[in-house]
Amino acid sequence: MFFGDTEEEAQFRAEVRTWLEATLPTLPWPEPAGLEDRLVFFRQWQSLVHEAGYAGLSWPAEYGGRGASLGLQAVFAEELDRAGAPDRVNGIGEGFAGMTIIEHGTDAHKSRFLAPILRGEEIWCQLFSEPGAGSDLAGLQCRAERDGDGYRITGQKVWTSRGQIADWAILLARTSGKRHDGITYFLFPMKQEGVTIRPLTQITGDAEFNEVFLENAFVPDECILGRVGDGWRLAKATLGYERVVIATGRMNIQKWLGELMELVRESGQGEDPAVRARVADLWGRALVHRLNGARALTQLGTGAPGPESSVGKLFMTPLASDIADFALELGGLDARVAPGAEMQGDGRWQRMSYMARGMAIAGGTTQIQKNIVAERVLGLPR
Amino acid sequence: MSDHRHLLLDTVGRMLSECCGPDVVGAAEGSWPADLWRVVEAAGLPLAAVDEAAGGGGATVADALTVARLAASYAAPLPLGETGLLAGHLLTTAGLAVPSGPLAAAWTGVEVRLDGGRCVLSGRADRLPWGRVASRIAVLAEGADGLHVCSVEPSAGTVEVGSNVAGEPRDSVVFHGVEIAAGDHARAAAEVTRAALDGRGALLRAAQIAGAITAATRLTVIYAGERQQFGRPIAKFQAVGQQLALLAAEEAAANAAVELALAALDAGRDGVDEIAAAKVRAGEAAGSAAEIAHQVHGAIGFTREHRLHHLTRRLWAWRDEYGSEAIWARRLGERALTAGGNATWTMITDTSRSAAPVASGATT
Repeated sequence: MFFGDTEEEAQFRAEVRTWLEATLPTLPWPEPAGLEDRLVFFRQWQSLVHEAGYAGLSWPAEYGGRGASLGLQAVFAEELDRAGAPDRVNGIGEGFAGMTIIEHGTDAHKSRFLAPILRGEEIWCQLFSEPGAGSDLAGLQCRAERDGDGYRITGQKVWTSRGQIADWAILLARTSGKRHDGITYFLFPMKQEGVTIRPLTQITGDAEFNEVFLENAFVPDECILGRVGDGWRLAKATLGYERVVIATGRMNIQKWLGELMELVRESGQGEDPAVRARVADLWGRALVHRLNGARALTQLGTGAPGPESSVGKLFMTPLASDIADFALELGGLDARVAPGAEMQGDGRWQRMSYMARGMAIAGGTTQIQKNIVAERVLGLPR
Repeated sequence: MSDHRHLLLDTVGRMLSECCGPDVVGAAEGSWPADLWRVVEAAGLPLAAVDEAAGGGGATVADALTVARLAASYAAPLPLGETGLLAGHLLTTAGLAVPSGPLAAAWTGVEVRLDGGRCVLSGRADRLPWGRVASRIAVLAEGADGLHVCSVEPSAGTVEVGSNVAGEPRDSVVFHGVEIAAGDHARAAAEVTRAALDGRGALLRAAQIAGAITAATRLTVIYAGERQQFGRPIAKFQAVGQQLALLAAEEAAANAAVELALAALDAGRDGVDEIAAAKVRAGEAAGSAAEIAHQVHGAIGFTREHRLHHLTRRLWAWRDEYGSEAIWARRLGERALTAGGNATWTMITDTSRSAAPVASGATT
């Protein structure tokens, strides 16, 4: 087990850093706030990423990717974060849909869908959760009914990030009545009649999520991923990728901790023993998180994520929350910003605090992750 | 609890459940709920604890705080406590008139210069709750000869609007040499100090936190009993049931800490230690309770259309207002150290004792 950068990682880190320094200034900053405008900005960025060969980093080379190990992916995510790179608008396309298509799709799926994701031409969203099926995803009710050479989809989905700008969705719908066995995984065209999207405003004032209403929306047979009724198995693979993204992705704990220490110094509270004890505790936990991530990456190599990825999320969530809350405490009333206010600068800790609360719920709640660890890592009875 | 207080709370509860539903609270964000204010003002709630001679209700400070706690359980978007317990208190103790309408109070950042017969106010009053709509601001200002109380309209200064995490107005008012009319200023009463006002503000927020946690707990228990996943209510899962138990414990702790401080006030003591403990404990509870309430509600609790955030965002905001846990814990610690080792046991266990000596560093 080795926790620092390997020679390959160090070299890759230096290469990415140099590239980012040269490339980021060429973008038409600032990054727009509105999603539609940000899409234009994102496409410019993604084409640069693609030209440089960093698109689809985790994807095998035969599909236009780089076949990078999870270690290199984590390095890339860290460097993007460090340099303040643009929002990865198509994270679902590249991270979840693309990976699942590569693993389970036909040759036709791969040639149709993968390249437009890499080039940033087609944006993807995820239609999994429903109002009545959150933690209990297998309880989903959205119906797929046979119609000619395809299916008609009717139901309601929720917590759909970026549904407004998505061209395609990974969709779970019920083709028969039995819980896990009756679910089919579709690659679903969003731009059609029968798809109604309603933004859901959050307590932050943002409308990151949407409700999506499907009424007799059509999806042809060739857009079924895997076999009819085999959707649950594929969905678990997708959710595994989601946990990896959450545990190793843009939420860069090291960076946040560095900023926290800056804040402690600036606030002149670094002499306070209570403050020092808390910083030391958080620093220690961040180190454990990093080492744990490195260990998981060493063990996994380039394989698909297993239930162990739940441990990373379980450890990360309270850590992120504690860092944000401590920073808010140190920053006093100035750090607490009103809804709708700029969540950058002083307000960034408020944003992180909200994100941390959300992280304990999104992608499988803390309680669901604990069940996964108990049942699938420890082998305890269900 | 006295019968009188019971009756008062009963009336207030009925009034607020009628007039202060989630729609009213939601709509009030960024605007002033004038209709709601008229209802509570007509019932005499804002000035409940102000002397009857000054137009108030003559209730005790503890009565008014329990009203504020109850109003917070409805997330009532009004400066109820600020008007009577802070501004009204400043004005009446100085013998100044208490006007109708919402009032704001400021006790730091402003100075007064007395020059012949003129009284001139300068400085910055930071983050005044509902400063923009206050009919008057009661300012405790430092002068060459001690503290003075001035009653001034916000429009006499420059108002910089702002708000807290919950979207409640927190406006700063800058006074650039504002001349105060003769009947609108007076020497502050001897018992009126910045430290005492800090304590009142802190206990007000602690009481509100306790009220909001109580309501959030109720919402969360109901939701966990109704929300079905895996074919049963999520409350049936032990993991969720245990979260609810922890939430109930936070609710109990916050309320007990506040009750202890109220009892000290009822007994005629200043309750300095109890207030510090109440703000620290209620503040801790605010963080844990909001976290559990959100976790149990899942994603739906994070949406604007759900009412949970009316309570939880207030918890996050109130936790830091009028002194964070760190500030009050330090004050309490300094007092315990000053009182000495032998006094510590009494300080913790004897709730009928007279007030501990005020440490020199405790008023900062």
